[in-house]
Amino acid sequence: MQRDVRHPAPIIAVLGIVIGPLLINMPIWVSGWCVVFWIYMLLVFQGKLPQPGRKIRLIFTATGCMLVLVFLGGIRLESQAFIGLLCVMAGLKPLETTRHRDRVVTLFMAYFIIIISLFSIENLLITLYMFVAVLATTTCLVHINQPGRRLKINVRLVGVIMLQSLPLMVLLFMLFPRLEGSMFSLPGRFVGQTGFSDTLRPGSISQLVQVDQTAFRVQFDQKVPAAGDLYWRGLVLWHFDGKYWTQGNIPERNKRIIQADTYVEYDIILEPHRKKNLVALDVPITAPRFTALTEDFTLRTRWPVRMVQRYRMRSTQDVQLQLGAAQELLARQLPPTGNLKSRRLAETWASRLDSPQAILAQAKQFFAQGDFTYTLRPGLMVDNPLDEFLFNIRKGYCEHFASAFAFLMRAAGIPARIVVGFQGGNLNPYGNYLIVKQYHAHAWVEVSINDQGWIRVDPTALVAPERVSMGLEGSLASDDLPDFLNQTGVRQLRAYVQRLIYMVDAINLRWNAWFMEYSRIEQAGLLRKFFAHMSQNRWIWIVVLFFSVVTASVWVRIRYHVRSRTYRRDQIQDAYLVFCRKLAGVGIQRHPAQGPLDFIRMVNLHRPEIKQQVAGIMDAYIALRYRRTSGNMSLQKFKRLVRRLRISS
Amino acid sequence: MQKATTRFAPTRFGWMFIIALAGMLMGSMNYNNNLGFLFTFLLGSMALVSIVHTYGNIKGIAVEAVRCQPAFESQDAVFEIILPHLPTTHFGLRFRLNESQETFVRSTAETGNRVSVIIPSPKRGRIFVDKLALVTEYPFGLFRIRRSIPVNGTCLVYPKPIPVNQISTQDLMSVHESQDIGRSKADDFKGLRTFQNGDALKHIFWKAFSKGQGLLVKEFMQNASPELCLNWEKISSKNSEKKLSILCAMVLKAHKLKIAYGLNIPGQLISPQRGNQHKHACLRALALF
Repeated sequence: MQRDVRHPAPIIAVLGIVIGPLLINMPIWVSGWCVVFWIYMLLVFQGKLPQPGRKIRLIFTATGCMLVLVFLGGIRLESQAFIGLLCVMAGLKPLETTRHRDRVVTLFMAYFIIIISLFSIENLLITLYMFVAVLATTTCLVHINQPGRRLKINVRLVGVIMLQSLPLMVLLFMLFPRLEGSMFSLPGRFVGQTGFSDTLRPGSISQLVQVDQTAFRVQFDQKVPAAGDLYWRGLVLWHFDGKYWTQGNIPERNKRIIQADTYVEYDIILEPHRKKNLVALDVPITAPRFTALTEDFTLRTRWPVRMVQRYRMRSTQDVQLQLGAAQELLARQLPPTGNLKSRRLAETWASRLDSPQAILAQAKQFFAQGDFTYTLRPGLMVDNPLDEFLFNIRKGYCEHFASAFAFLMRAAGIPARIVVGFQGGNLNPYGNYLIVKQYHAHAWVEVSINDQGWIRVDPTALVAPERVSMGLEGSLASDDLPDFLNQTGVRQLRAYVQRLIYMVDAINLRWNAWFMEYSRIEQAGLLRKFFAHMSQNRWIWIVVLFFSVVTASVWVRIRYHVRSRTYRRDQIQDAYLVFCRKLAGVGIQRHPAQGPLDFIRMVNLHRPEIKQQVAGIMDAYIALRYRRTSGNMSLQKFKRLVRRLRISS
Repeated sequence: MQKATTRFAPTRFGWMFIIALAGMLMGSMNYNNNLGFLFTFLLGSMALVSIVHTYGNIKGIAVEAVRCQPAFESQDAVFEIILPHLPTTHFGLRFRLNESQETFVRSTAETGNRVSVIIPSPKRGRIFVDKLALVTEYPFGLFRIRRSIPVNGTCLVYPKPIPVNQISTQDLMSVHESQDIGRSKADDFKGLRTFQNGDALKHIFWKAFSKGQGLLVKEFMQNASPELCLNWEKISSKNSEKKLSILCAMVLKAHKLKIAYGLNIPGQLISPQRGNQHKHACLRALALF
């Protein structure tokens, strides 16, 4: 019993099933680790290898922890390292399943692994997977409690229990009160996301271009705006130190009420990026819940975005972004020294041209005709990076252009700032929505000219107009494209794959909109239908009361019903008495002490014509009552035989 | 008679499971993750539904009778619990009678409706059982239903016999009280009767047959074999339990030798006889001494 060979294989199978989705995002050695230990384990339990002792198990555990520490980075139990540790432990755990207690604990660990993968991945497939994983784990739980039962029977039992529990699950899901925001400040989603950074430095955006991850999705109410208008505003950077652009002060909440006659309305489904800002189409004029529209028209949230967040936005191009007095000072800030050549150029423009418009036009011309190249690999620019870029290298990515342009403007006395965000987006033909990827990250400039307010200038568009009109692929030379966009050869296949990806993405978006984003607001709406005019707090109590009553009644039923059933009716006896009554009706009275065989003899004596039927009934009665197993005789069959007995008087 | 009582409680794994579920719920609330909620509620609902299955697994199991073959002291007393006809198969049941060992029934399809429960090495005399504890944790092992069913069962426990081969026929004879020992003369002839099926061929009165008088059989007196009366007083031992053990062994030996024997113990006198029923009557007298 102690070393039961029936248990390891199912437990390992369950661990394999539940850990599968987590292993996909793990380095290959983690999978190797698990597989090696599972095979080792199976051999141990077949008696082909000796059982490892306590010391050896400790060494294994320590090795696993070391590997995680070294290869998955750090003792901060975040995402990768935490999941890695879990996988490593799952690989080792079956070694300690000689006792029933350990087996149960291992299966509880399997449940834990399932919920971790649910926290890490959110889509329709993982939802379906969850049911399969629960079925497998629970079947194994039944198996270790009822060893030796056939797998099919166990699977069917668990399937039945799952189906029976679905209504309760749905009810709980819909009625369980939801909170807004987090309870504790624990790390957010388990899979790390690259967000656009709040610092602009050479390389900070071209790095993101390598990332084929979705940043957010946008569903427009009406037509999707033209590609050239798809500037997604993220953050505004004010402060330049000669190399880096940073946000400077945290911007204040915008206190003005902004009116616009023409605007577009859309929903943004933002992937978590752990920053406290949202993106919106340039220029946003509303703010979602718990979010402030700031003075520089960006959106600032109360909590870092840790979950997929859906919010409704309204944007317009009709509004004038006024330059405040406090802003003006910031927008003219320059580092005291450095980049002298660039400064001199700007100062020449300022002295030669009289209006800011003219200076702006001159700068635009400088970029458009200056033989600049748009590339991901401009090379290093160390000292006076802007001088290097503008006068020597002349190659750069959007952050170089934006940085240089804003610097020139400030040096020429025109207030300027940098906006980082995204530009463009891929239209998903299956759902008619935009998918904006991390590689759409972009930076551009806003300048303020007299009373026109802030005007958007995109120097990248001056150098490489295709970047804005055709997207990334159209604007970079093919050897400059990130690897995943440059897999030539099977273009046809890529097109198919792309279509498939779009289709899956569209399905997941639907699913998430319907299921994952069911929140406090939807819940309130749903409940309002049932409990009209009821305050939020009161319905919580009603739900609590409801479940208490249900639980209490189940409890009472079990306690008292089982008790009463102890003295339940004996159905075999009932049917037998019916049979005896029928015979008594024609004058054959059974003596209370008369056994069935004796009685049958008496019946045969008086009524030989029903001998056959009576024999059948008696056989059934004796089989049910006295035989060890009643064979193929069932109570129903016995009752039927008795019911069909007709005796002519 | 007391009523059956039913108790329901989570097992220690059940408590662990509940705590784990609470943790998962906290996690789901913290991350506001609907999939986490769905998973937690699925597991919770399944656990609740499983209680109904646990209850269904024990439902309908009553006790028709409890019976037990007499046992010898320090052997196992095996009680047989007879259940009513069970229309469905029940799994993972544990039976225990008073202080007996626990019997695990994996499936009633294998055992039918008879369950044997062992009380190991009982004391001489009569054991009573009045309570059957029926426990099931089916199907998940997270919740336990324990039913206590009143029963009425007894078991006779005979004294522990001293190994029979240690008792010689001489010993037997030495505790014999009547003086007509060694009456080894030929059996007394009683008379003739007609042949019946089963009569020994050597008893047929062939002479009469040859004379054409039909098949006649010679009849002899029954008490032809030696007759013993096992006497308590004749056993040379101070310890009365030991005396009982010796007498028990003698009864068994005499029964094996097919000798008619009687028993004389203080307060009870059983006249010499043969047969199984007689043996048990003697052993019973010894058990209840």
